[in-house]
Amino acid sequence: MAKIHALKISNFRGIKQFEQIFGNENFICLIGRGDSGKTSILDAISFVLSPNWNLAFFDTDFFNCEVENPIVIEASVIEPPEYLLQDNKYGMYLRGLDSKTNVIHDDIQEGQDDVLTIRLTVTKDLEPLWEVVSNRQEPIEIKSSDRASLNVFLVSDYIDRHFSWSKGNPLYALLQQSETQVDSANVIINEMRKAKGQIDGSNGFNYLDETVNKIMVSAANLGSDISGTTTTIDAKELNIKDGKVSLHDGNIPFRLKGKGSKRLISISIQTELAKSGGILLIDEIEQGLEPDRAQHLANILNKSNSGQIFITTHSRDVLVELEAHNLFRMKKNETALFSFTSELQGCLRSNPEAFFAERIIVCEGSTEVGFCRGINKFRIGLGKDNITLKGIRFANGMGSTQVEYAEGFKTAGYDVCIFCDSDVTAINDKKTSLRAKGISIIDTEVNNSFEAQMFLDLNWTGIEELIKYRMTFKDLEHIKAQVSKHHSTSLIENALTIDTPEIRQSLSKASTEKDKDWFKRTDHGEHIAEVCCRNMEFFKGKKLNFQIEALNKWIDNA
Amino acid sequence: MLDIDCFLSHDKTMLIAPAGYGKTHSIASSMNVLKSNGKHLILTHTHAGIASIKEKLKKENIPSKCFHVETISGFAQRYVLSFYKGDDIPELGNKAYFGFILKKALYYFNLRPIQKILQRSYSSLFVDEYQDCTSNQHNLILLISSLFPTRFLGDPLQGIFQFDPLDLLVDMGNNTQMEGFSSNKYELQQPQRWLRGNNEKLGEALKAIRSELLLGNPINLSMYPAIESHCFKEEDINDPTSEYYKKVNFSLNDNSLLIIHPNTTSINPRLSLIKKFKNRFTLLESIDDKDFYKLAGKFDKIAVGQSALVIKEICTAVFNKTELDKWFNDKGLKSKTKPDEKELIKPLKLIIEDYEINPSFTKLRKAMLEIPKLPMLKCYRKEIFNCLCKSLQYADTEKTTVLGAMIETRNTIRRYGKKTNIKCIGTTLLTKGLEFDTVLILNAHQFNCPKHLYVALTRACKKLIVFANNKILTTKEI
Repeated sequence: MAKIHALKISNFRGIKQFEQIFGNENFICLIGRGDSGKTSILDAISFVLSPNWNLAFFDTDFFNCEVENPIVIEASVIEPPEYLLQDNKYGMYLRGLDSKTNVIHDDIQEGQDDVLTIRLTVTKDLEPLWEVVSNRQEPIEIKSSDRASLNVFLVSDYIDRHFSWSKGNPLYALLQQSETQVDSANVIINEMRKAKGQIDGSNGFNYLDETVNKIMVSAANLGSDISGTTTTIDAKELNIKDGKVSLHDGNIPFRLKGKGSKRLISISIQTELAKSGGILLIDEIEQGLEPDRAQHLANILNKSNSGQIFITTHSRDVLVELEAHNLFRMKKNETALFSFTSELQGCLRSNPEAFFAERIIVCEGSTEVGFCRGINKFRIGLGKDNITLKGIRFANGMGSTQVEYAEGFKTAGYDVCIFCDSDVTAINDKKTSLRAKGISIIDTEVNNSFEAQMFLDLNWTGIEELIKYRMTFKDLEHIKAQVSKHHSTSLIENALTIDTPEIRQSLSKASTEKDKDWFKRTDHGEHIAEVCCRNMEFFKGKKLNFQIEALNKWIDNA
Repeated sequence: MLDIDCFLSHDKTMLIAPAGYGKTHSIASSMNVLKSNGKHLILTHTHAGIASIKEKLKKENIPSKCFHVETISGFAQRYVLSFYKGDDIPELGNKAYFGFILKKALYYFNLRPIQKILQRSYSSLFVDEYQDCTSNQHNLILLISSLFPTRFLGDPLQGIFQFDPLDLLVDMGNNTQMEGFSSNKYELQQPQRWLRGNNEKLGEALKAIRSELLLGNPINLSMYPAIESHCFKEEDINDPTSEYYKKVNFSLNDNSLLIIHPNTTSINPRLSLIKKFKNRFTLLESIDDKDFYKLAGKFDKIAVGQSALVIKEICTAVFNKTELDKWFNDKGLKSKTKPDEKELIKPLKLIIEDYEINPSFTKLRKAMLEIPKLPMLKCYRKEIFNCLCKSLQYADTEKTTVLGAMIETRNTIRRYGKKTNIKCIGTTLLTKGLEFDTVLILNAHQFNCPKHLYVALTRACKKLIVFANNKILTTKEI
């Protein structure tokens, strides 16, 4: 069934120029910060393939309100309904898709797939014009009923009409698809006639007879015989359009239901449509829904989809249901969407919220994530800009996958910073190429783990605070025993109160001991950051100080 | 009668339909069976053919949404112009044009995406007048006949449209050429045109003659009493006192009448006959006769003060020159001194003077209409004259050139056909597919080709009169 292979937009709302190839993707999730133009893309699709014979446009629909530049929206549709490709329809406008290169050609060749390109143009007279185009001949206008055969529907805030049976609505389209082939107009008119028959025969208006009799007498005096007069409903008023007939829950029309329920019902009508193909557009799929319902909806749509679905979302719960190839990122003023490499699949499950940011600090592990969060808290305390304002999220790189994530995010158009240590050769080797790609790197001195750098650089008072923090989890004896394992000599009574290079080293080793580590948790990281930030002036010139400064600088986008 | 269901039961069939045996009727009957089963493509060769098929289908109440009738050239052209991107297409009117279109059509119809469009658009194919397909057209039809059930209708004995020596007409009798179609061959048996109160005996005679011609035998006219035949010397027709002339002149009283002249290459013998018989019949013009366009173009290039001369030049081509020269000289209108002649030429003179001050095509048309009013002036090519006047008017209202208007006028005739229930003279090429109550064939012994002779003989549905220098007509082999 019909799917959008490529979409081109010019001068529409916030979009000056835009061109995106969706290829064979059947489930497309648009993400991006607010005002980046996601909704405009959904609207553009619903307009260019609109089943309506007319649409109202306003000066504000033009980019920068510059009405001199026409709005042009072009959708190239693959697998269009067969009848649209007859030679007296739009068959002569056929274009060919080379599925290997995803390029659409006007010069038809063997082995190409069928494509029809539909273009909507709105000039300053605000009259929309829908045409089928190819660069071989003059465009030909496409009728609304032919556009309707593509079954494109948008679930937005104004969905009350989705519950009525008028033409161009999903319920009607569904009716057309049903095998029983009912003529909906006749069904409704017949019911109306029955209703009138019942009113006519009910004598419900006979309490009006007294007044009517007066008139009959009066008319008879004037020579007019109206003795057969009755009172009933005028058939003219029964001429109720199919649009007035809608779904009810008992006596309550669906339009009075809650926002979330209405959206779910609307979507359910349309997923029925999508089962036999169709293009479903859902803006902010999570709107009005609890996280679990939003998640469930995304899951069901993705799994049972046999048409093409476009959604936008700001919900991490929705994202975790999807695959990286489903995601397309809109960035303001960009001329195409960014797509995501499959390397980010794991990241999508573990750090869905990062995908909604503009700038990402990919941290090596939970300690580093916590450390960054701690820095953010400290900044808030100081009255500095917080990371959300700066469009930043932290992602947990899970150690070895950190580099892949960072590269994946970079290709998806994010501003990326890696926060890591320097004790893994494999990662150290890649740092030059990462920098070349424009990824910022904030790391420790060579061969140092994050903890090693910290125990090396932090002032002793700070270290004592960290030991104290550790003591809220394990008693002093336990800590001493663990540290002494890494010390050349047995620890003296007050060893953990005297600053020596060796004790710093032993503390560092003990704190990173496998399965007995001290700080490998986000909350631990946050605490360390608080200690480090507060003590910054006491370890000036040290690497740890530089790291914190560098993180602050990157956050400030300096 | 043709068993339609049986005929339609094969994917590839052909129907041999002699002239007047109900070929178009068979198409209508087929469509009646197929009408609920999608849309069917019907291809033919001429616009007159399209018109007659459409008329028949309309008469039989076949819904127009279930068929599409087009010429093979038009159909190929529609696809090529839609899909070919190059700008090296020869100009329409250039001889190479249709060859180019056919070559490209063959290329595009070979592509699967285009074949799919054809299959989505049509459930089956009928090709009418198949004998008129050139080899190139035949190859194109064979190519698309693999896409849907295909039926050919035609008559090998009427294949007279052989114009390009490099692209021979298809031979419907050749099994190799006709591929799978030969194995499902049907033939119509009833001479329908001569039944229903026309001339049943004539139908039988033509049926017999058909068999003889197919065998390559000579035709002995005296064996067929249903055909009126006369033996005269060829040149006698030029002598108004001869029996030949008198006989022809006498026969001209019938209303729907066609005179067939065997010479298809020059119109001069026909024009001279029109003069000899004092304009009692008109010349059937070829749709694309160059004179239509040549003369129309002259109106577009009138220099100041030259309008009378141009009118003279154009009229010389369609009126009798001797009489015309009494009113025009090398400078334009003659100045007449005799009062009666002065009076006669006055209206034309005034129009031309007015035109020179304030020119318009409407005034030229008025001037042209004055010419036949002059005494003794006879128009020998009325169709050209009428089309010229029509084009002048059209050019004025549509603000186009007279040549452009003429192309439009001729195309309209091409599409909708023209009235032929008048007395006219033509050739086999000009009258194939038409029928007249009475047909006179002049100099029938000049027909070398049995196909031309057969087409000539079968134009009459009530009365056929054949003039020849011999009762026995011998043609060369088919």
